[in-house]
Amino acid sequence: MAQYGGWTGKILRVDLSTGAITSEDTSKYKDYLGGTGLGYKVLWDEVPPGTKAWDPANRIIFGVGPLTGSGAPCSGRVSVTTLWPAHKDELPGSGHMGGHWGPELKYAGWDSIIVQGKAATPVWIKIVDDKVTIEDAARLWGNGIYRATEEICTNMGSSAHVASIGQAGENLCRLSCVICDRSHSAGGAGSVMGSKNLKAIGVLGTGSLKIAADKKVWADYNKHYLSMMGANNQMVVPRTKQPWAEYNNSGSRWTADKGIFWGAATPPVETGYCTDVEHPLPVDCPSPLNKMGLRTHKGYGDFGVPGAMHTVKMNGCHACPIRCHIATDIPALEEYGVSRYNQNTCIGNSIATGLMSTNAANPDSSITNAYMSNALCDDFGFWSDYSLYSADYKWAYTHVMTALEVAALGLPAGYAGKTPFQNRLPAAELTILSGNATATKPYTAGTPFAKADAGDPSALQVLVPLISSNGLYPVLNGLKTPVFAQAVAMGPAWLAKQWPEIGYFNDHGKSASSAKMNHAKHHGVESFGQIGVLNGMLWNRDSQNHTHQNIVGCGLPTALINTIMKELFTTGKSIFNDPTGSDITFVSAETGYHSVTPGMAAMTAAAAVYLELYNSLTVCNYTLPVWVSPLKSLTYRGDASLDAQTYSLVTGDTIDQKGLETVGLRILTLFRALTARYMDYVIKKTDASKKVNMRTDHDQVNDWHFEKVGDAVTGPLTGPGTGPGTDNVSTGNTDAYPATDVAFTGTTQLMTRADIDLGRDLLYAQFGWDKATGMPTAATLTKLGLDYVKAAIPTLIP
Amino acid sequence: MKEIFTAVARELKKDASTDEVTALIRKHFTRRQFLVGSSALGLGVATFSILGCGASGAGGASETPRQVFVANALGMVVAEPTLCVGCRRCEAACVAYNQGFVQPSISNVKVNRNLLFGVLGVTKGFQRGDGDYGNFRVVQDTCRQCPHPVPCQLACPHGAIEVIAPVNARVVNIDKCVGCGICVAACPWAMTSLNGPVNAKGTKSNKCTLCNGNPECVQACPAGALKYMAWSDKTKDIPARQVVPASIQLAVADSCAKCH
Ligand code: SF4
Ligand code: SF4
Repeated sequence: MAQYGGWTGKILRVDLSTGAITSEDTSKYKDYLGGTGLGYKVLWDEVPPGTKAWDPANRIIFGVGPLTGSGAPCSGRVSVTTLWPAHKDELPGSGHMGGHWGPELKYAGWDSIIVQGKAATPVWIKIVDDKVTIEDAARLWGNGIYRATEEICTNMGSSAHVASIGQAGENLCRLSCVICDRSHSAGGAGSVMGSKNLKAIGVLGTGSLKIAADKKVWADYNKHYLSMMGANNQMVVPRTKQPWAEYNNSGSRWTADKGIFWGAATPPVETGYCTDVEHPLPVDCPSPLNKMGLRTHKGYGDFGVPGAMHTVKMNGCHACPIRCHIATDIPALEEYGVSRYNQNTCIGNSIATGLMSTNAANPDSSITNAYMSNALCDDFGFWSDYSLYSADYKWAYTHVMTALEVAALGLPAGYAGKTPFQNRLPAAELTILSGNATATKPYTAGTPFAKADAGDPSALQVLVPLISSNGLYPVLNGLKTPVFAQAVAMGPAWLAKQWPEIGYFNDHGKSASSAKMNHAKHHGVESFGQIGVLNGMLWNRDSQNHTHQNIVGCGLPTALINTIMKELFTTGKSIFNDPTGSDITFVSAETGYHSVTPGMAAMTAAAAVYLELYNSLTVCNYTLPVWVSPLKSLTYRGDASLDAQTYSLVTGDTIDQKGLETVGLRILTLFRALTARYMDYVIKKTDASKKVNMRTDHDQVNDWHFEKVGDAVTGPLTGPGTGPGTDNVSTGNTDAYPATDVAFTGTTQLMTRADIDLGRDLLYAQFGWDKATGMPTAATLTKLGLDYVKAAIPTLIP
Repeated sequence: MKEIFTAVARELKKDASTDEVTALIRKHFTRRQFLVGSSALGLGVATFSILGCGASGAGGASETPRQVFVANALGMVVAEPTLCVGCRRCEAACVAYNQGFVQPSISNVKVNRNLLFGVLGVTKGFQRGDGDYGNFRVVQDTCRQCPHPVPCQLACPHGAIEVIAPVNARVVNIDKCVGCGICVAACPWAMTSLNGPVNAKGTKSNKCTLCNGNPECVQACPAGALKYMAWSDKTKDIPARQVVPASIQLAVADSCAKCH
């Protein structure tokens, strides 16, 4: 690999069972770039079907790629790939973290780490350039992530970066994450580290990374690239009307404006006008590029004026000019004995806020709850599952089951008239949580439920430790609630296996926000309609796809977005293309509902493939791609070839847009085959004569999206008002699908199953996958250099 | 050279202000005279040089003229921690746009070492200190472009740190640098760094060159947290980051004694 820039050429492998620490040549994985691509290849080669997430034989791959640490915009990410504990069958998945840990790994000389085996006692891995050791973690085990990081940095020096699990990961909560640099979490992977007795990995790298391009070319290219970037989520117009901007959009995260401050900075910092490069306002800065970091004020964007007042600054990952983490100072938290300083972004700020109410009398209630949640969850390493778990929790906490529901779900008749928590939790636990054995209101003052309902943030100081203990030990002077703790900590997919009403709610209730199979929706139908739905089918957790989400939300007029997408995916620029030039409009209040088109399928395919590309290169899909821009001179066009240009400049391995897309398709297709191989094993365990059909077994969509519940494909479903042909809106179950609570905000339309079926046909065609089975065809595998896949699973390849 | 040396030395037998020093040196060492006199490789210099004056016995005295008394820098990079968002694009730009690779450990603007736990480093009670694990205050360390006596320059036994026009930055002449690392220990703010092991083949010291007056880090900062400003003496205000070993201080003092 020495001929290339970007890569270091070496992969680190640590076997915790034997203590062996070895170095491998990266070239074996070059066709998969790094990140998730590398992770999938390692799982394919080394982890046979039947392996469980917590088996020593499972691998956890901390994958970085050729762009990680290169200084290219948004290149600070790490993909943590493994058999996914939160999936009901532990199919492969990955969590992704930013921060500075991934770049540090590259500077230490490593193109990724593969960890396997299980240590006899708790350990941490210490990496100082090429010196790698396995260290005793007895002192760290049982501690939160903050303390573990502090102790490791005391050992390694303050420049080191540490990725650690907290108590949630140690205690094998399926909802647990790995966190580096205080707030950057790879969701869902924490318990795999816990199962291996691996507390943390500390990295200190002093080495260098080659950039293949001429330094002047690289410098100019970076400026060019930055000039096309917008705010967080690539929102390319400001939120408010400003004199320099043609457009503005009230949903935009480009929140900077006169009078909007980082109010807790000392002294406060006014964000002011943060213009694009074509509208320099010289009073503020030498170039608008020197104010990109102030464009996105999520403190204000997410929490309004109280958020602005408590924001110290915006923070984020290595080499990213956008800054999406809100660094806050909330002095009131000190009254609870919690640090006043905390930071995170989006769902990271609301991991546990769904377990409680806000206090309407206190304007700071929402942000105080958020950062109490943040202070605890980022220390205990508890994962949000993109909020699906808390939607389920809230439903189990508040929804009074009807007799109809109870009968249809085959539950004991006595469950009617009570909530799932009341039905399922032992009296002793309900007493701890509410003060009485049946959790009947009013709850006793001072109990976690009473505090939660009152919007008292200290509720979380009981609930988060209780849940993160996974019921294994008492917390806070003897409180122990194993059934409650495990029900929450195992996550929706596992809980639905034990409590069918949870699965019913996720499948039928829009307010659960579950895309399919008890996975969160992120981003789904709300994001480009069918494009979001079809994307949500492809992975084994929430798709986490922002490719399409960032286009929907970019802030430009809908018609212009649709025109730009048509240019990208119907004129032959991309390998994903509709030569007939069909429309790529998204369903909205403006445009109403319309059927899926081949052009939409092409954009869906691109959205999926770019997600895998970004997670492999690695760069941030929370902000990229740059398919639109803030530049009026370009009529707001971005440049879809930027990723290929960046890759070519850094590595010297020159590739064009279509070439890089083909690499992305290879990675996605390998992931497809990998999923099919594991899923086929699960299916054959119950009936050896069967084999997996990815179209029907995997690529599902939850019922709440549709006008009819149940059909010939999904079969008869359980639950009230279900069964083939039942009208979804008129079932009368107003909790699960009230008439106002439909798939497309702003319209009264639900989707049709026929339309999504057509969408599957069109999408598979874009990928070169078989229509009937949703599996890559033999010809596609050959084209992508994946013949070995066919050799390994011949019966699954059509 | 000799005459000029004498002339400057005579005139400087008084407490000169930095501006006076600059003016004086300019008077005697015009760019053209210097180029003629020292055959420097196309670099304009505003300095006062002495011949064969090793500052230290440690690495052996250099036999080429070395700069001792130097004019003040004309510019400097000034950091504002309140604005710093910790992205480290400055570190990446400093090395990549000047040298063609990425290596934050040798960047001439140093953020990473203060990023998580502040200038004081990791300590118990870190949640009340600086840095991302504390109050989010991230200090970006930049070279002070020290006035005479310039600690790194005087400490270098090889005379490898020179003052270079157009902005009089204190710059490592990599042809002279042997990678001994003495400057790294000599800078009170630990602003120079080696790109490899001490004294190894190819190891060179890196320090801020001010990019000829248009620093890459300043251009790269997305938060306007780095500014290029007219030079002023910050060396008295900013606490030292490290204790300079007595051996180096003595060697520097020896050098000082040549003129004082
Ligand atoms: S490297 Fe240190 S000693 Fe040298 S000029 Fe800069 S701040 Fe002064
Ligand atoms: S580029 Fe600016 S904001 Fe980013 S670390 Fe450097 S000084 Fe701070």
